[in-house]
Amino acid sequence: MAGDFSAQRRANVVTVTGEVDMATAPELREAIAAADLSGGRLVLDLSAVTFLDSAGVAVLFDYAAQGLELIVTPGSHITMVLEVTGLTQAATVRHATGGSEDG
Amino acid sequence: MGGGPAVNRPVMNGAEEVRWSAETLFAGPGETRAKLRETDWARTPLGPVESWPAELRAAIRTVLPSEIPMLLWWGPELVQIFNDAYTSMIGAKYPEAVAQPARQCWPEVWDEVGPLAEHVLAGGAANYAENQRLFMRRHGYLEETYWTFSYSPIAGEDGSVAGILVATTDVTATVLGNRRLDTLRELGTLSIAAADTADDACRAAVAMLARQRTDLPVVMAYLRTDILAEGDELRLVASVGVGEDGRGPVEVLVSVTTGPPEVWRVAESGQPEQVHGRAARQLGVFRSGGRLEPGRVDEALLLPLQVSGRARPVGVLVVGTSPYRELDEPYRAFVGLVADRVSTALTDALAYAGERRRNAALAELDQAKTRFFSNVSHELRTPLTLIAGPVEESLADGAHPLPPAQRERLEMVRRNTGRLRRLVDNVLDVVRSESGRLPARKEPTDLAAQTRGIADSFEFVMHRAGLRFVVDAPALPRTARVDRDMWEKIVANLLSNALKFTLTGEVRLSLSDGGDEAVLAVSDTGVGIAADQQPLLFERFHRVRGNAARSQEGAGIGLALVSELVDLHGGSVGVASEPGVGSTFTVRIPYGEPASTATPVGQSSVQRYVDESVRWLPEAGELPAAGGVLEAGKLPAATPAAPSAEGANTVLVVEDNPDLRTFLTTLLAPHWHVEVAADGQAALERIEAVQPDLVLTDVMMPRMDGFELLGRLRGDPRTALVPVVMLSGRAGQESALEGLDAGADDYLVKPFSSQELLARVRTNLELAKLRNDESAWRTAITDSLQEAFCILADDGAVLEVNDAFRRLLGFDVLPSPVMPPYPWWPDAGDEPAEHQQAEAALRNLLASGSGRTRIPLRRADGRGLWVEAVFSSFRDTDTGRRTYVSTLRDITDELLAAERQAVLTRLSNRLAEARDTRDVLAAGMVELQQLFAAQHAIVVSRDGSGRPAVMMGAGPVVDTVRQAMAGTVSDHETHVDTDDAGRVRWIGALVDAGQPPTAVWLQFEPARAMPDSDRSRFLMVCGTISHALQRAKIYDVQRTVALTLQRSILGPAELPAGFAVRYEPAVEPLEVGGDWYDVIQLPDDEVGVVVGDCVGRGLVAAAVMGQLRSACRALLLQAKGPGEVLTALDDFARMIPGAGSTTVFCAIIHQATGRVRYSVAGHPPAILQHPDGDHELLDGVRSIPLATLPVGTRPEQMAQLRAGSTLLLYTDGLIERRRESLDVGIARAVRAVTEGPARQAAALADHVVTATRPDAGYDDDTALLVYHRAERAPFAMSISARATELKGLRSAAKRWLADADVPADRAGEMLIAVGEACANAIEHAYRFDSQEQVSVQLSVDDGQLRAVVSDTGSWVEPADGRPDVRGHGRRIMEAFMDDVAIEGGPNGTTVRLMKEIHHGG
Repeated sequence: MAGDFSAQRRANVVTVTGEVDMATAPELREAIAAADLSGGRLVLDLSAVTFLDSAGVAVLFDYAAQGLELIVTPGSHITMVLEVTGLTQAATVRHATGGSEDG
Repeated sequence: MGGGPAVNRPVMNGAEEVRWSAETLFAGPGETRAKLRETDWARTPLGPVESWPAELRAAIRTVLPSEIPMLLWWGPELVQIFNDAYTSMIGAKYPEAVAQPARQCWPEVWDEVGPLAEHVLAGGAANYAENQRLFMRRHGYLEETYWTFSYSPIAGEDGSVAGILVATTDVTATVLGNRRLDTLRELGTLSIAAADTADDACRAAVAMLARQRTDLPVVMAYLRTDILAEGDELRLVASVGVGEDGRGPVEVLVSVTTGPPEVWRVAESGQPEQVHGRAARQLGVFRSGGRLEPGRVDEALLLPLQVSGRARPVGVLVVGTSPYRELDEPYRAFVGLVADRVSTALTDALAYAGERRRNAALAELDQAKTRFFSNVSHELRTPLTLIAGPVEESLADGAHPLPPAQRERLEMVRRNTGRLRRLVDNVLDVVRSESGRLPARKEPTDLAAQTRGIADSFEFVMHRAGLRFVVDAPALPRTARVDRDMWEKIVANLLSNALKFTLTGEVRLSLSDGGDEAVLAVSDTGVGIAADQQPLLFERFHRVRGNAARSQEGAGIGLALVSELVDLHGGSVGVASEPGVGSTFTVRIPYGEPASTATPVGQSSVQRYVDESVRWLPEAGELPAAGGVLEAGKLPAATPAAPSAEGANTVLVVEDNPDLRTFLTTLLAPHWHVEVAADGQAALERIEAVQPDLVLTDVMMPRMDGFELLGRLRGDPRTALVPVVMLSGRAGQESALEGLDAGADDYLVKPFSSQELLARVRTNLELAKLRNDESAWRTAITDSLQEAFCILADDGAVLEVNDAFRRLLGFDVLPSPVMPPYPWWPDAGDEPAEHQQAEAALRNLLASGSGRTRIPLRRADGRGLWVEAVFSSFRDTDTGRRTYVSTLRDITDELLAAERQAVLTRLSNRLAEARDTRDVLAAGMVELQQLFAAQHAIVVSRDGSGRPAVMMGAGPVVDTVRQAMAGTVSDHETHVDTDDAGRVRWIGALVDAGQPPTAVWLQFEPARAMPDSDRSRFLMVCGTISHALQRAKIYDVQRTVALTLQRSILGPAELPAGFAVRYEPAVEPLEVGGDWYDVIQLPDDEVGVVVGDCVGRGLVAAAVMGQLRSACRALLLQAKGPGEVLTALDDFARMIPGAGSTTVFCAIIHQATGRVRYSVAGHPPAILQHPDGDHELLDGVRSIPLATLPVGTRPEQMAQLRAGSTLLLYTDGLIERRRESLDVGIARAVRAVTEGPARQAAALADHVVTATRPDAGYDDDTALLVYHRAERAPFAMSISARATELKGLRSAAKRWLADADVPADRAGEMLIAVGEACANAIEHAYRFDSQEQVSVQLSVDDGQLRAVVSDTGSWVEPADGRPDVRGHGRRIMEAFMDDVAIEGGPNGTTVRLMKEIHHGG
C-alpha cells in the first residue's frame, strides 16, 4: 500500500513514491532542485505516488516550463489530478510500462 | 440562651435581626393570649420564642385569631398552643394545657387520639374524625363527650412534619340530643296492641329503653300489684342493668315495710326523688342477687308513674343515670319525659283493658237475655200446641158434640191459648229483630185501606167493652212501602193496648198524611201513664206499675214490639199521656222511596230511646234533672250540673237523626260548647270553620258514615289528635274493637245512659287535654332544643316547627301546613342546581324514611345556608301514613371550614408543585381569585425606586392599592377599599413582609359585601401563601446553587455525533447530586464514556464528584484503558474524603469499529441493545465500588457494538424503586431502550427518561448516557490546522471508508477532495491562526458518500501572482466530486462534498 513519501534521484530522473501533500511537497521541490539535468530534461516518475494534491501539482507546475516529462500510471487518480489541473498539457506524459497500476 | 433543648434550630444570627417576641407574636385580646404571653417558653421544649421558626409563627398567626376552636401541636412532643375558642372547651385543663405536651394533657384519650397524631407526625395524610366519642376528664370526672375534629400536618422548613393543626368542635350536646330524641320517639311508638296489660306495657317500654343503655344504664319499673284497687304493694315488673346474672325475673316487692324506702315514698307521695352514691347503688340490691355495678352508677332518679284519673301513682320508675354525664337539666328533663312516656303507655293500656272488660260484660249480658227469651218462648210453644190441638179437636168433633156448658169453657181455653200463642210469637219476633233475624219485607201498600181493615176487626171487641171506637183513616196521598204483616202487628198492638187500659170512654184511631210520612195515632181515655213511666213504655217486659187496667196479662212486650217494628221501617213511635185523662200513641212511618230496598236491620233500634228521652227532657232553659233511662228498673241518680269551666271546650255532634241530635245537644250544651253536623261530610265542613276539642259521631249516617269520618280526621294532621267518641247500636266486643281499631278514642254502644255519655265525653276531653298538655310540653321542649326541628307529613307538608327552626330560616310566621316548594328552598330560577338538590333531598327523605343529608337552603332574608338534616319517621298506627321528624343543623360554618381546609389542601398541592417564588405567587394568586370569584387578582410589590408595581396578574392599580403599598404596610391584616355602601372593591394582604413587601390584591366588580369570616379566610390563605413563599425563597437559593454547580460539574455541553446525555434530579430535596457522566473525545476515533455515582448528596458529594470526574477525564486522555483508569481512580479515591464507595462505569468506544472496552467499579450494568432485538448487560467481573477493598488491577472487558446498536449507561436512580428488585428495574430500562426510537440518541434518551420515571418523579438523582452507533457510523475527526496532520487524517478516513464498504476508487477520490478542502484551511491557518482546528466528517447515506470539512477561516481564492494555486484545489474537488458546496462566512468555511457511490453487490 501507500508507503511514506520518498524521492530518489538518479541523474535526471527523480522517482517519487508515497503521498505528496502539503507536508511533503517541499521535499519534492528540494529533490527536483537537486536533480542533475546535464544528461537531459527532468523526468519525474510518479507511477508509485499514492496521493497527490494541489500543493504537489503546484511544485510540478513550477518546473513544467523548463521541460518536464512525467511517468504516470494510466487511469490512476494521480493521472486524473494531472489532467484536471492541466499538467498533462504543460508536460510530456509517458505511461509507465511496468504495470504498476494498483490492482 | 438557657432553657431546655430547643427542637428548632435557631435561625437568627448577628446579621438578621429578630423581629418578634412573645409580646408581638401573642399580641391581641383574650385570656388565652395573655396566658401565652406570660408563659416562660424558654422552659418548654419549644425554647425561647425568639428561636421559633417561621412555620411555627405563621401557624400561630393562623390559629390565634380564629373563632373556630383551634389547637396547634408543635414539635415531636406536641407542645400545645391554642386560641380562646379552644380554651372555652377544655374546662379545668386550662391553664395547665398551655404549652403542655399533648400526652401529658390528654392521658385519658391518648389511646384514641395518639395514634391519629402519630400518623400525621409520621408524614401521613391529614385526619378527620366526625362525632368521635372520647371519655374526657375536663370537669373533674370522666365525661362522655363527642368531637368533630381534623388533624392537618404543618411542614417544617426541611419538609418534614413539624407540627399538627387541630381544628375541633364539641358536638356532645348535639349527639346526646339526637340520641335522646330518638329514644323518646321510639317510646312514643309503643303500640297498645302490643301491650294488653299494664305489666306488658311496662315491660315493652323497659325493653325499648334497654337499647339506650348509655343514658339509661339502669331502669327499674315498679307497679302496684293490684293497679285497679290501688293496692299497697309494688312489684318490680321490668328492669335493665341490674341482676343481669341470667337468673331471670325475681319477684321484688316494695311496701311500707319492705324494699327500698325511696321507692315506697315516691309511690305514696307522687313526688320525684333523687338519690346519690351508695343509696343509688343500693336501689338495685333489692333485686335478688342483683347489684348495680359499683362505680358505674352514682345517681338515680325515682319518678312516679301516673295514670290519668287516678290520684295515686300506679308505679315508680327508677332510673340510674350515666356516671359519665353530669345530671344537668337537659338530662333530668329527658329522664322525666321517659317517665311520662311510660305513664302514657300505662294509661293507654289501662283504658283499653277497662274498655274491653266492659264491652265483654255488656255483650255477654245481652246474649244471655236473648238466649233466655228464645229458650222460654220455644219451651212454651210446645205445650201450647199440645193444649190447643185437643181443644180444637173437641170443639170440632161432630160425632161427639160437646154439651153447651163444656163447649163454652173450651172456647174460652181456645181463645186464651190463641192469645198466649200470639204473645209467645211476639217475644220471638222481638228477639229475632234484636238479633237481626227479622227482615222487613216492604211492599207498596194502601196503608189507609189496610189500617181500616185492621180496625174493623176491633170494632166488635170495642163495642162489647162499652167503648166508643172512632176510626178516621182517609186515603193517603201516597202509597207507602211497609211490611204488611208488621204494620198489622203495630196497629193491633196499639189498639189492643188502648182497649186494655181504657175502662170507659173512647178509643180513637186516626191515620193522616205527615208530609214524608204517614202518622198513625191511637188515643184513649184510659188511665194514662205517669210522666216518669212514659220512657219505659217501649221497653221490653216493662209493665206500668199500679195502674188500673182491663187486664194484667201481657208481659209488657207489645209496645216494645211496636217500637221495634216501627224502627224497622225507619219510623218513630211516641206517647203523650196524662194520668186519669188518657194517652195517645203516635206512630210515624216514612212512606219510603219507591225504589228503596230493605232498610238495614237494626239501624235505628235506638230510636225509641231518643224519642222517649226527648219527651222526658224538660223544656229548653232548664237544667236536666236526670239522664235518659236505658234499662227498666235502673234509674240513674241525678247528675250534678258540671261547672261551666269546661265550657271552653267544643264538642261536635255528628248525628243524622235530628231527634237524637237534638237530644245529644241538649244533654251536652250545659257543659260544653256544642256544634252539630248531620253527617260526616257536613262534619268535615264544619271542622274547617271550627276546630272541635272532641267529636261525638254516630256510625250509620248518609253521605259519609262515622268510620269514614274518623279516617278522614285521623288522616288530617290538624285533626289527627282530636278525640273521637263513636256511638253505635251494634253491641258486643267485636263492634267495640272495630271502632277502637279504626282509631276511635272511645266507643259507646246504644243504649247508653246520658250519665255515661257525659262521663265518657268528659274523660276523653281530659285525656286529650293531657295529650295536648304533653304536646304543648313537647312543643316547649322542642322549642328549647338548640337545633331546628320540624315534623312533616308524607306529602311533604310541614306540620310543625320549633323556634329554632324559625330562627334558623328567619321566618317569624309560617302558614300551617307549609307545602313544597318551601319558601326556604333556593329559588328554582336563580339557583336551579341548589333548588334541585333541596328538592331531591326531600324526595329522598320521604322515600327512605330515615337518614341524614345535606341541603342548601335560603333564609327569609335571602342569605344562603347549608344544613344537615337528620331525619327519621314512624308509621302512624291510626292512619298507616308516615310522619317524618327532622332536625336541621346549620353546617354552613362547618362546610366553610371544610371548604377552607380543601382550599388550603388544594393550595398546598399547587404550592408543592411550585418550584420557586414566582410559581408560589402565581399559584396563590390564581387560587385566591378563584376562591373569592374576583374579577382581577394582582401581585403588587415595589420597584427599584420604591414605587408600587404590579409584579404579576392583569389588573389596574388604583390609588388605594398604591397608597397601601407605598405606606407602611402592616403584616397580618387585610387592606380593604370599600364603596359608600361598605361593599368591598379591593381587598389585599401581605404575602411577604420582607423588603420589598409583596401583597396580593383582589378586585371585585361590582363591589360586594364581604363578611368578617370571608376576610379572615382571605387572610388565612394569604398566610399560607406567605408560608410557602418563605420556603420557596430558601428553595430558590438552594436551586440556584444546585443548578450552577450541576452545570459546572456535569459533562460537556457539546457531544460527538451519536451521543446523548440526560440528568434528572430527584424530586425532593433539590440538591446537587453525586451522579455524573462524561464523554471525552480521544485520539484515533475513540470516545471515552464515564458514568459514576458518588455516595451522598449536596455540595460535599458534588465536590467529590467533580474531582473524580476530572481525574477520570485526565486518565482517559492519557490514553489509559478503562481498567487502568479505574485502578488509578481507586488510589485517587482513597485520598479524597467521601470518595469511597463511588461506583463508576468507564468505557472506551472505538467509533469506527464499534469495539467497546470497559471496566466497572460496582456500577449497575450498562445495557447494550442490538438492532436485531438482542441485548447484553455489560457487567463487571468482581466489580466493587472504588476505594473499598484492595482489588489490584481492575479487569477490562470487551463488547462489540454493531451498526445500529445502542449503548445505555446510567446511574442507579434510573432502575431503583422501593420494594422492587434491581432486575425488575433493569428489565424496565431494557424495555425502554427496545421500544424507544432507533437511530436517534437524543430521542431515545428522552424516551428512556419518560418510560422509567415514576409518577411522583425520581427518588434519586439519575444520570444517563446513550450512544447509538449509526447503521454507517459517521466518521468524525478534528485536526489542528497543520500540514503534518493531513497524513493521519487520510489514514483514518481511509480506514473508515474501507469499513463502510466504500469502493476503493470512490474512497480515493474522496480522500483527494477532502485533502484539498483541508489544505485550504491549513493555508488559511498559516496566515492567520495556527491554533485553528479543522474538522472532517464522513458519512454514507442512501448511496451517497458525503464529507463536511469545516474550519473557522475563510476560503482563500488566488489573489497574488501565484498561478491559480487554490484554483487547482477547487478544480480537483469539482472534478472528483458529484457536488461541491463551499459556504464561507465570517465565522469560517464549510466545504460539503458529495459523491455517488455504487456498491458492487
